[in-house]
Amino acid sequence: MIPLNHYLVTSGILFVIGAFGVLTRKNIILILLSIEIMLNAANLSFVAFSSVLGDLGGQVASLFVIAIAASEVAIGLAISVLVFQSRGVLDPNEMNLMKW
Amino acid sequence: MISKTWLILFLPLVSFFLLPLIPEEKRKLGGWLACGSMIFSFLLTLELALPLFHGEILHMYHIPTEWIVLPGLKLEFGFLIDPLSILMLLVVTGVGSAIFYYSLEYMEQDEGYRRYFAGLSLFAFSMIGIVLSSNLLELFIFWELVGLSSYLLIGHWYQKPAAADAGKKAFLTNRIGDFGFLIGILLLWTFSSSEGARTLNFLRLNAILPGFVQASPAHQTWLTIAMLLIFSGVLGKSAQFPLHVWLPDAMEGPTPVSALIHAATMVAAGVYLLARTFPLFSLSPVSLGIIAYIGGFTALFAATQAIVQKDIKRILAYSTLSQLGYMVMAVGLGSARVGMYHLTTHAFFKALLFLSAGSIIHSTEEQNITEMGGLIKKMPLTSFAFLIGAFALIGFWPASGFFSKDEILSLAFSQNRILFWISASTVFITALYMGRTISVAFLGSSKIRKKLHEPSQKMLFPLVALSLLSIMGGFLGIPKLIRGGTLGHEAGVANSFVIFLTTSLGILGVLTAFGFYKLREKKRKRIQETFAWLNELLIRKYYMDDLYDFILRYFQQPLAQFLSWFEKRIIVEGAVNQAAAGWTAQAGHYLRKLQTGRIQTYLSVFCAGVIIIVYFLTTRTLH
Repeated sequence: MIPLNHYLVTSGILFVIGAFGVLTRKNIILILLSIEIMLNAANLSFVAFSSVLGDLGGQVASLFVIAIAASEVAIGLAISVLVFQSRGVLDPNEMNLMKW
Repeated sequence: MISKTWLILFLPLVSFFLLPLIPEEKRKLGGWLACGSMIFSFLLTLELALPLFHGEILHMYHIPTEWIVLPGLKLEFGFLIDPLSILMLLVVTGVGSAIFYYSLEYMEQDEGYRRYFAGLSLFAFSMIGIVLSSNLLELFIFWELVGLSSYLLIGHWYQKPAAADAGKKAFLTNRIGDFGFLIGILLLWTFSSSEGARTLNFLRLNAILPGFVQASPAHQTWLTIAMLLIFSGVLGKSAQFPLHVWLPDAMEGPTPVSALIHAATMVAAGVYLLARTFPLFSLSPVSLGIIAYIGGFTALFAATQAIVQKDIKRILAYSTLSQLGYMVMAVGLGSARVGMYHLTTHAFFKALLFLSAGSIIHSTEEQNITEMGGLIKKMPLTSFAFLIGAFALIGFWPASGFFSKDEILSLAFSQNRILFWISASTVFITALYMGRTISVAFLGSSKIRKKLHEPSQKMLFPLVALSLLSIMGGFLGIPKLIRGGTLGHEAGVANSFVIFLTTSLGILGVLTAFGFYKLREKKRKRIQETFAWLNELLIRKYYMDDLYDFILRYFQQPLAQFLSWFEKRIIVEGAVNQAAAGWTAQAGHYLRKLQTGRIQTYLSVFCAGVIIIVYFLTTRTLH
């Protein structure tokens, strides 16, 4: 039996990797992928807690997260495609029309 | 009882609101409506006063209606009905009814007929409100309403620049006094704290303030300041020196208005206020002394100016000033009762004088007495009424003025010899200018070519009624009506020396005036030239108007300009444009750089925020 701490540390490392990717990547598709990593980090700790505490709620929550992640990616990719069609770039720094 | 009081107060207001709705073709109906509501108010007042006339026990009705109730502050809208307010109510509604009735004919041809009656009704409403008020704030509200209606009525013929200016002058002069009045009310309010609840109610104030004064000597000074500030309201409304300048100019209004507002009732409101708050004034002997001297000075000061006036209405206006001075002096000498007595008789004979002057003006279309002459032959009835009024004003027995003026003089005789001699010389001067008016306008040969007519029944009836009152006023037992402990001491039995002195001074004054105008032209000219400087001084009103002009031009105007500059440059351009707007723009200029539009910047800030929040949450839960 792997102790709970291991899961949590792994989950934390995954989350930080994802967050770092979101904040630094220059390609919007890679940012979306980093978001996936963060979501899955959360899923990992959900499932780990679920098995340790013997409560199925954690697994249900992770299933919800997967469903939402799927739809989020679908919409995110659709937006990326449209942005690329209209502006020819995928760099989020170029998408700055909302500033002053 | 309560509903009747409401009716007395609100009948004129109802007619004020209904009058504009009446079409121009039915203007007569409007006049009758206003007049009818006033007469109805008078009848209700008579019913209210009936028990008093029977000499029954003086009931005092205090009907408080709570108006604004907050913690530590309770304002009422109530009525206080005691002998004092009933007497004043009788004067206001009684003389008011006579003058409304008189106006029906006098103003018949006027274009602003309905506006005129609306103004009179508003005035009647506000004046009755002053009389019935149970507390200072309520009184102040009506006080201001009275000022407004006075402004509207002085400026009734607003196309005439003189009338419009006179209205403005009256209003602004009153503002000066009322400003002090308001501060005085607020000061009194701060004194009136008893068990946390402050009050402006007259009866409560009367009960609370003696204790306040006894508490410490500093309180005495504060009360004197407050009472003098309240007196400054009286200075404005009752046209006492130095705020008297508006009253002579107010004669630009229609004559019945001058009779009702600027002679009989409104200007007497100041004296009524003094009588109403007399228990408070009597706590501060210093303020009473100042009041007495201001009153006495005004009496003499105004009477001298009446000698040189040529406009019949202005002569009467100055005599009003002088008589108001008598009343104020009487209150200052410690007897509000005597002041109220003179107020009542003065209301009768001064209204009579103004109304008969109005009849003369109505038929001759002339206000200058030197252009009249010989009126006694052409308009005997009106002249007779005027003579009765003049005799009452001078104070000849048995006219009402004799009794009230004698009480004042006896009071002065027993209290203060300086003021006694001032008022005695005023008696002489009063006789002098009334004698002059009579001999110039009523005797001698007529200078008017056109055919004169006596006024018709509508104008004659009030003249007769007021003549009767002016003669009988002394026998009606008015002083008995208000014989109350709160209104100061009795003046004492009329002193035979005082009676002898005033009567002989009166006769002497009239004879001097008659004799002067009987002199031959040449001799008269010579005397006039000798006193040319005095004439000039009096015609220029002791340079009071010039003094006000000087103050306005060299003090008020530069101050206003400086303040305007201050407001424009410092406040608007400095504080608003430069500081508030400029700094905001600068701050915005720098702060907007934060809005990069880059999603990753926002996310970084967001992450940092989450980390900080989590940090604080965890530290708090751990410790």
